[in-house]
Amino acid sequence: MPLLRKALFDDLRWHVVGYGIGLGAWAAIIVALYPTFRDSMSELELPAWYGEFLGTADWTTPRNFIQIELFSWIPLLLIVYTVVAATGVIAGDEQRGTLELVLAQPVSRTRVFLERAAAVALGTVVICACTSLGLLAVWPFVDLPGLPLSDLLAAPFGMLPLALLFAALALCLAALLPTRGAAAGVTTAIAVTGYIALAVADLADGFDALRYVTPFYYADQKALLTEGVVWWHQGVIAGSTLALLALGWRAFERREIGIGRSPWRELLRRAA
Amino acid sequence: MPNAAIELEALTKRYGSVLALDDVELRVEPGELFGFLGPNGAGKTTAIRILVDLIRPTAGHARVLGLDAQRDARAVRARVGYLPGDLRLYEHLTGHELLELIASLRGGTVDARYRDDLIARLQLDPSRAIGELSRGNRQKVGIVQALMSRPALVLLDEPTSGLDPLMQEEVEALLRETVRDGGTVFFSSHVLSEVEQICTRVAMLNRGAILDVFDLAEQRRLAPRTVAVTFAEPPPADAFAGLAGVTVLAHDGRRVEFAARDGIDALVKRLAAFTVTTLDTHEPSLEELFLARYQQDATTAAPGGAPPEGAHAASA
Repeated sequence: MPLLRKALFDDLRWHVVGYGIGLGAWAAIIVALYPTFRDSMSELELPAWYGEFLGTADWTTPRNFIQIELFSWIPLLLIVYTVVAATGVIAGDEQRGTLELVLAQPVSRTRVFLERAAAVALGTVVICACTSLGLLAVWPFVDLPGLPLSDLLAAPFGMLPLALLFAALALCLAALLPTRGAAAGVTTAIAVTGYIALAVADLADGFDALRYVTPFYYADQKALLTEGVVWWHQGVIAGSTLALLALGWRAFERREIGIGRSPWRELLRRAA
Repeated sequence: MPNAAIELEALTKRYGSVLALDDVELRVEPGELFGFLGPNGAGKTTAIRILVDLIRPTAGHARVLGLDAQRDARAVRARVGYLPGDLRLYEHLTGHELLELIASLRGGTVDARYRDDLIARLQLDPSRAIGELSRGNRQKVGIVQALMSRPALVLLDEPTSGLDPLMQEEVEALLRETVRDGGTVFFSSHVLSEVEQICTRVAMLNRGAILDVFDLAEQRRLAPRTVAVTFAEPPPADAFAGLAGVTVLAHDGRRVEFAARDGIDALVKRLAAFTVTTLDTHEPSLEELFLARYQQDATTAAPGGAPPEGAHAASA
């Protein structure tokens, strides 16, 4: 699988290494600081809405603390990686003109699309593993009552389905939209909107229904450690991921390479 | 009839309102060294990119070696070596690494000895990163990858652009050898002299339409030769009247210029009656043929309304 190998070990190598080290270090530092936080927070009276915004009333237990501190922000960073990586391997390669020679060889577009999607996904898995490694490195030095090592190490992989969903969305938009910039921009906008929508749904009365349209709700990132996995939620995410991948694959099959036009435009023109 | 190497049937490509290819019909036989000639924006690149299924026709069909260029795209590409007109290569790879990548995508059909031979003949250093190479040297990498698997059909979009004259000659020699060894070469160019030197046939494309397909040998036979004669004494003004297939272009004292189509024999016999001091004949270059044809097309097209500006901008 030369295309997968090249994408992962050549094109995405530094992204994966960078995000892996960054997120691993972040996770390690957060957990290492847990005892200090616990001691200072127990003396602090926080308003009730703050706890609600964070998704829990008591954030001094290890499970709550790690969930809030790590999994409020790390999924967003992981999504940034998937957007950069997924739009790069498809739209970036096309815009640089280098995809042309690859697609002129006897390989199917399906294979190009799937090997590159697999490279992005494997990169995401590696980054999650690096985050777990960061946690593992500090685990012997911090007392985390009620949180076994297996749960701690598994926690970063809880972000994986959500990250892969956005990877699929970015791949899909990279195959549909004319430029890499457009694909990355729209994917990021959807991610940010989705993130804010969940916060609004949690905080503001009358916006409850909003949560059901944002993938961040189904990701359960603020409940995985405390509530366990809700399988149908993860199923919604996995199903959406597959649907977006299929759509992206179809769009890439139909795409006219290197002319900076969206296949949508052509479809609209024909329909009109 | 054996399968054509390339067969375009009513091939049309439209980008929005811009017509890049307009109902193009073309047949290239196996074993031909075929030139695809036209100014920038004529649609040459568009046609070639349809053959390797990078873009799709709006209407019509393209067949390569008997296979449908869209439906059997992978099988077509397994038999085709392609050099893009706007060649972009992964810059951090070395020439060697890039050739290895392409070879792995071609599934081990590369003739390694031939590849090394190509590298040596083009004086390419494959150990250097492509980003450090000059434009000409990158072009050499592109040419090597297109030829190294000895494909049945070689599609080259402006193959000699960026190469110095010596390397251009080497590439031309390689293309001749490819045809000699049983391959077919189809290449685009806007350099008339290059096409003239190496092609057996040439299609002239302008504004997305084929103006003409020249059989070069045939054209040279049919096209008028200029015959310039200087006489010892000025011949009478009507000395060359009534010669079939001969026109007097200029008559200036002792010097007379003729355009001779198929009347060259009659002209020589008439000339024999006079004392000739010098005689020059000049066979028309493809450039003259091309310009004559192109101007003719421009004049006939003008009253009917020129195509939109975009037709020229659309890069083909």
